[in-house]
Amino acid sequence: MTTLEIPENGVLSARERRVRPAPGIAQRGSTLTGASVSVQRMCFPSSDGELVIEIGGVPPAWFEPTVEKLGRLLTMPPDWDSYKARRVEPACVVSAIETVLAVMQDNTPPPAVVSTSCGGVQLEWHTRGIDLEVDVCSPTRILASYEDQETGESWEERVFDFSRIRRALREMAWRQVRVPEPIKEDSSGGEGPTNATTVMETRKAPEPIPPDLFWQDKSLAQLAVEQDVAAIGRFEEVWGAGSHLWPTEEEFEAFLAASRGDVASGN
Amino acid sequence: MTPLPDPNTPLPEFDNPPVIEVALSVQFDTLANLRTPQIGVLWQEFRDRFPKTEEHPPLESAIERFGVSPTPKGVARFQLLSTPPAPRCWFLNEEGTELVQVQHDRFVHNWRKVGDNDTYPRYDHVRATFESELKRFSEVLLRQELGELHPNQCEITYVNHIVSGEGWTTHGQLGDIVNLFSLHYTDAFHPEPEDCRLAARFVIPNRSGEPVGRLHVAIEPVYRTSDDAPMFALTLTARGRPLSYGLSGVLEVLDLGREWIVRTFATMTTPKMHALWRRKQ
Repeated sequence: MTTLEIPENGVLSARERRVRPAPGIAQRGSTLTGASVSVQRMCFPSSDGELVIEIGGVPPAWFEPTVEKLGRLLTMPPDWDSYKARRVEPACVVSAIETVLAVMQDNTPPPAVVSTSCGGVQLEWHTRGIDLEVDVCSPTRILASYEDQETGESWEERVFDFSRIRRALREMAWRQVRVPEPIKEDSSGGEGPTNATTVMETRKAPEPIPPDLFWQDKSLAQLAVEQDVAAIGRFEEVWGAGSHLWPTEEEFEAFLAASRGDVASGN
Repeated sequence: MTPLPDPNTPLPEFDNPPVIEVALSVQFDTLANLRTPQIGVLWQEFRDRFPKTEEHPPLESAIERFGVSPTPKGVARFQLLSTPPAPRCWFLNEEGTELVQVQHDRFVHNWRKVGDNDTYPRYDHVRATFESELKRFSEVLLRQELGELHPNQCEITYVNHIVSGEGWTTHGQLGDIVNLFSLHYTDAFHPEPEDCRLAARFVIPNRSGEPVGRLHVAIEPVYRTSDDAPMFALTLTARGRPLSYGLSGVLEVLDLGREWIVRTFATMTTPKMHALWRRKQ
């Protein structure tokens, strides 16, 4: 017998309304499509509690470093800036994590993470001519500012709709692929955050892909990060590369014809 | 984009609607000091109308977000280790038909049908009661130096019990009740389904077309415990942010949510059921 699938939102329970639910839909345990994926759990203890994050499937490259930086904010004591700063609110950290999980794509560059003196959390991206700051003052008060040096576009708003932030991050990821940025060992001295305390941001050596996950669909940027190479976004940059691998022009043409399937199709 | 309802069209009305519960709720920024002893002090203010109490686990925070990925990659939560979760306290009237629920980030007023003769007192009455109780709650918070109310989400829920025997008999006949479900098979093979359920969501825009809330509709097959009669539980919940500062912003979004609920209920259900519920306009 399943439970009544009405969200617990303050209305009275099924028992109190004197009803019981009809049997639910069939279990999907024996199928692969829609089956539950493995869940990775990360925990960060603090003085009065524990931050728990669960992510399903293969986490994107930015996930672990970003969440680690956010989790570490909870260990900062009050007055961490010696100017009577408030302790970072766990609810703001949770909201910041929910925000990154909801707006970032697999190929989004990781943000810098900053604590603010009023107990909030700021996520910052300063890369490829784009400055984007998302200030989580409370779970329901999120402010954002954006400036694009390439196009001149800029805006500031209290966020109710995250579409503009997602668009900005998509543009940032695209520029990252188009013109890859040199890998820095420590970004705190470069295009890093601009205020308050910065959690050190370092790029880890790429981890090998587990053999059972090699077939996963990955974006170009994600593959580049995993393989620790710079992604090339423009076809012109690879045009003609590797032509010396064929001793003659005829053999190269034959290879191209075979690739196109000309031989198999008889064309 | 969801089309805006024409605010000039009068709201549909029914003489005998199947509503059995209405809940008006406001979620606010957490008041860390509003714990069990303080809620006890608060109860003294409500005790004349709500002499009974119960304790329940707290409700999870719920925030409608827009423009985010429809499939977030994961979830995050913070678990307190040293302090037990602040409870949700119920203050009930003698008949059990009305109650107030209080927790450190939520204030809820519920009306529910208990006896067969209980009739829905109508939205204007429930709204007025909620408004006066919320004002009193806010005043006590200030007087007791527990903090100021900063509403962040508001919610209105209607629960309807549509009992078999009037217009339909089995859980496979959902098409007799709602227009969104039609039992017209392409091929002739299947009998009527054993049961059916349905869920839908609508984005609620403000008058400028910006999303401010969301309407969640769920229709579930259930059985009445007393006699095993098949019923459908049709739940409509509208949740959104206050449209302006203060109590007026709370009431504005509740009114908007109620308008969406009433119009959706009327447009989703069939004329056959409207006749049974005695639709007036």
